[in-house]
Amino acid sequence: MSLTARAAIIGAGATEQGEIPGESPEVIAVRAVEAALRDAGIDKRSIDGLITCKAPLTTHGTDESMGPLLGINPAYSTTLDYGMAAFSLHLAIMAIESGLASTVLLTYGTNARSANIGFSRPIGGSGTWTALSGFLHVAGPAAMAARRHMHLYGTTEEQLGWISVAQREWAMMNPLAVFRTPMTIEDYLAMPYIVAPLRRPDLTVISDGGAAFIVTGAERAADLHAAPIYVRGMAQQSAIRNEQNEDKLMRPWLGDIATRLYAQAGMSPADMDVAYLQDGTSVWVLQMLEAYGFCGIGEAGPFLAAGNTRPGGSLPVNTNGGQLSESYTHNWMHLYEAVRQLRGEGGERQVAGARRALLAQTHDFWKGAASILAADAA
Amino acid sequence: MTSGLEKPLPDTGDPVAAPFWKATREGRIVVPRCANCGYRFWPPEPVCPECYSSSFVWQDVPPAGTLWSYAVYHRALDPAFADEIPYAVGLVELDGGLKMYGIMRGELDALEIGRPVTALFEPATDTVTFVRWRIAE
Repeated sequence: MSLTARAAIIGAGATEQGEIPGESPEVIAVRAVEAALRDAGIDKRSIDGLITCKAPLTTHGTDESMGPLLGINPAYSTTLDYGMAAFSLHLAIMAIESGLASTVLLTYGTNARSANIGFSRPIGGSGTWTALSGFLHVAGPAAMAARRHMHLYGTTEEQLGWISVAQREWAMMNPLAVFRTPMTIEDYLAMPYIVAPLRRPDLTVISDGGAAFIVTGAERAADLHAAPIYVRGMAQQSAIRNEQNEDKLMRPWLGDIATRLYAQAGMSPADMDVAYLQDGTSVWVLQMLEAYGFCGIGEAGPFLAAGNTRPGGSLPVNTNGGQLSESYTHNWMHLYEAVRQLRGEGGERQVAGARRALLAQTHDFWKGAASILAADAA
Repeated sequence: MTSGLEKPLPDTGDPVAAPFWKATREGRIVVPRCANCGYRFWPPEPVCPECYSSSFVWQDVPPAGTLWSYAVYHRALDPAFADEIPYAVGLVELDGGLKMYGIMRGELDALEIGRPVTALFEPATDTVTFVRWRIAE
C-alpha cells in the first residue's frame, strides 16, 4: 500500500504525428528521445535504464536496435513485445524500485502509416480459428462487444458516436492531431459502417510517430525538474486465457484493475480531473468509463450523450483526441498529453485545474494496465 | 493471416483439431473434454489448461445454440471474403455452454442477440467442412 508517489516523469518528448516518410521506427523514436532529454534538461549519460518496445506488428524497436542509435550502455535495458505506454511505465518503476536503474528512458516509434502495416489480422488467442470465418481486425471483436453492450443496456449508436465526436472536438484544439476537421454527431451517423455497429471514426488512426519519457524515483524527481509528474498508483490484470474466459469480449477484469488502482492510491474516480482511456476502438472507452467507475455498469451511453467527456464536460477524456483523432500510438501520446495537462501546458485545450489523471489501457483481450498520474507527490 | 484471394483453410491433419474436422464432415460438432479432469474448453489446445493432461475425449454437442453477439462486416478486411460482403460473424453460445465463432447465413435483419441458432455444415473442399450458423426457424 503506497499513498505517496513512487516515481515521476521528468521528461516527455514527441515527434510530429501523421506521416514521417522514409524514416525507420528506430529513428522516429530517437527524434522523440531528443525532445524528452531536452525537456528533462539532462544529458543522455544520465540514463541508466532503457525500456523500448517493438513497433506494432513488427520486429523493429528492440533495445539492441536502439542502443547503437542512442549511443548509451545503460545498466538495465529491455524491450516489451507489445508497444504500450502503461506497461513500459510500470516496468520502469519496477526497475527503479528494485535498484536496477535510477533514471529510465522509455521509447516508442512507429512508421505504421508509411510502411503500410496491415492490420487485417485475427485478434486474440484463436486466430487460426477466427480467420476461417473472416473474423479479422480488431474492429470485429470490438463490434461484437458494442453490439452486446447495446443488447444488455440499450446503448445506442448515437451514444457510442459521442466518443469519437467528443474526441474530435478535443483534437481540433491539438496541433499534433491527424484528424482535425469538424465532425458532428450527424456527420458520424451518416458515415458508412466498417464492421457494424462501428464506423470509421470508431477505429484508430494509423499514423507514424514517436514518443519518449524519462522516469526517475519520486525523491530525485523534484531535484531534476521544476514540474515532475508523479505516478501515484499502478495496477494491471491479465486475461491471457483469452477465449477460455467466460466473458472475453466484455472484459469484466478491467474492474479488477480499477479496484486495486484506487485502493493503492487512496483515491476514487471522483478524484480524477481528466482521463486517458486508450482507444484502439471507441468500444474500449465505453468499457473503461464503466470499469473505472466514472458511471455505473451499463450507463456509459447516457454518460457520453450528456457530454461529460467533451470540452467543458465533467470528465474530459482523451483531450489530445486519442487514437480516434490524434495519432496511432498505443497510449504513448495519451501519456504525453496527460503530462502536458498536469503541467498546465495544454494550450487552448487546457483543462482548468487538472491535477490528477487516470491513464488506462489494454492490450486488446490480453491484458490491461492503469496508472494515476498527479501534479503533486502526496 | 490475411490471404490473397483464397479463403483460409484449416490444417485438418493437425492432431489438436483433427477430430473436430472429421466430425464436421459427418455433420456433427465435437469438442474436447479432458480425459483426466473432465474440463471442457474451446478452441482446442494441445494440453488441458486445468491439469496439463494431453489426453482428450471428443464429445458430441448439439449443433445448436444461442446468438451471444455478432458483427457485420461491410468492408472486406480480408479481401478473400469480398464476395461475402456484407456478412455477419456470430459468436454462438452452444447449448453445452462453450462459445464458437462462425459466419451467419440467412437474412442479416433476422440477427438478434439471444435468438436460437442452428448449425449448417458447408463443405468447402473434399476434406474441409465449415460450420456456419443461421437463426433457427
